[in-house]
Amino acid sequence: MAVFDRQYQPWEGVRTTRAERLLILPRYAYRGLFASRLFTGLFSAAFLPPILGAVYVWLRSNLPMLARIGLTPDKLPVPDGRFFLVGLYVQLCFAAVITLVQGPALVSPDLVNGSLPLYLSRPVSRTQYVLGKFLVLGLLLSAVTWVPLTLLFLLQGALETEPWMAANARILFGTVAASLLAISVLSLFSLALSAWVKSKAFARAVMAGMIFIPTGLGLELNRMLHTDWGHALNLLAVFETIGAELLGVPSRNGGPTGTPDLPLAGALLSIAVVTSGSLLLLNRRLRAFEVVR
Amino acid sequence: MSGEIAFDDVSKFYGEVLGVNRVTIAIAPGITSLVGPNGSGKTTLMNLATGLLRPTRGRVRVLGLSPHDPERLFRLVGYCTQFDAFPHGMTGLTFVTSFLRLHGLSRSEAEGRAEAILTRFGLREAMTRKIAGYSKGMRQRVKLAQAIVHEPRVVLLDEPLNGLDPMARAEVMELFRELAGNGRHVVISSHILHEVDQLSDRVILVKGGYVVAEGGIHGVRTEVAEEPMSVMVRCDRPAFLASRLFAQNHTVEVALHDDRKGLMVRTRDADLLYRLLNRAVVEDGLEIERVSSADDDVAAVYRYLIEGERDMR
Repeated sequence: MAVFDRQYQPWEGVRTTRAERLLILPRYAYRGLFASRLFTGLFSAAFLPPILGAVYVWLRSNLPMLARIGLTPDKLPVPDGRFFLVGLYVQLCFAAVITLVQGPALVSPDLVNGSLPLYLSRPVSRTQYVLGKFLVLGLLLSAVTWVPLTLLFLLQGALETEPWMAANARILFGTVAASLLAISVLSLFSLALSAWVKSKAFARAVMAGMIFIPTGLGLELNRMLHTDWGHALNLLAVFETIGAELLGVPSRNGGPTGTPDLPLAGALLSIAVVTSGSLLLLNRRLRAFEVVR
Repeated sequence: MSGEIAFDDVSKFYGEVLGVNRVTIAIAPGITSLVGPNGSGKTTLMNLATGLLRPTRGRVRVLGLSPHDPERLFRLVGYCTQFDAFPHGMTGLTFVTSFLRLHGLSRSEAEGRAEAILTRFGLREAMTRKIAGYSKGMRQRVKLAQAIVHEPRVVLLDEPLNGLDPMARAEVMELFRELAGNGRHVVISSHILHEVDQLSDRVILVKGGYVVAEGGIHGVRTEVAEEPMSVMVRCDRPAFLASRLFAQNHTVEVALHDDRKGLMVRTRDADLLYRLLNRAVVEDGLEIERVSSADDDVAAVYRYLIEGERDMR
């Protein structure tokens, strides 16, 4: 038998916090992300609408500039809940496209390469692994949704003479809450698809199909059954309905998409189904070793 | 904290397929080899010990910890899987560094340790190249490096010698001895029996999901009572010795060597044989040049218990 001298030196130094360790996974994922020009272009384009919004807000409060281009402030409506709902909808469209491009690449390579056991034989649980991958999309989508919209809100508040910010705090709350909800659902949905379909390209196609086909199907259901519940199959309409509710803007009779007459219950049900389905799929697929039954 | 890796009545079924069944073993510090044919359950045992699989029944404890507490377990455990699995696009250095950072080391500390371990494994020049361009032996060394870089107390190595050239193999085996000599548990699964024989303090033989034997190699061989042990004796009077041996109940067979300078004995009790040899030397003046066991090794035990071959001679 070997002689056991107990000479080994386990590392006893200070460890980084659990939260800091969680950021290791997204940090390495971002390295390759911006190497793609297509993605960088798409990500940059997502900031165009908030910049245009900021220009509009700045222009409204800049009377000399308005006068030079022959406009008066009363011709430019005050940014209100509807203004931010439109902004939210546009940014969520970008978020959906970014998710479509990036989401399927998050988990499937680890499954294809068989590197999941490597991650899971660290002080990292399956939940933490999912959370780490979730953060990759979460941080990206935050950067194009609630972060620019919050900055836009703060700019509008700063330029407004009245106590606009306090009176419209619900807009800020609604924008952030609806964005976070949409980010969570989109991220989970794409992670689940990425875990389910191992080919990135195929996962993208499936995800696009699962966004667009149910949307068309929902419209057809609405037409055939004379209902509005078919919109529950359209994720963007679902987000818009919830966003409108949170921002206190009625989405009926002309929301940004022109479609959502979806009851709030339908939207919430849709979210619950997509989220629980995604979590179930992740729980089933994200295992260190595939169990063949 | 308990000092062993304990499987208590552990079974793992993959649906209707048996992984391992009713395994109860305790693995002490030192080098323990898991030996068995493909599909016998060696990797399943390792995956159960690391919590990558959950047992269908029974309980696994690693140094008293549940394998399903990765936060605490993997501070103490390093695992090298048998598969060439690496995240896409990483260099050897970023691979080891990033996984070390998941253990909670700072960037500078992780980079320093990663460089040191990769240098130790002969990868200093290649550490900044992508792993995809590595040879099989280099990939194997990177995998071993990531398994021990955080100084674990338990090291589980699934087929760690695969793909290594003889020089690297000898170095790695020396490293395993060093790890075990420092009081660690080093559990190795391997098909390379003569190296298992050289390395191991104990073996666990697995067949069809069942542990068929465990313990020191000599002890296991002795337990295989139905297979007489073969002992070669080189001496000056083999015919005389043969006549003494035939008078013993434990002797199964004696065959004289062609050169008449030795014989091969098959005995059911090696200890009685060795005592008889001692007496022959003392009482009869027999001059013995060499006594060696022909089948007191892992390969023989493997043949008897795993392959079931009986024609040893």
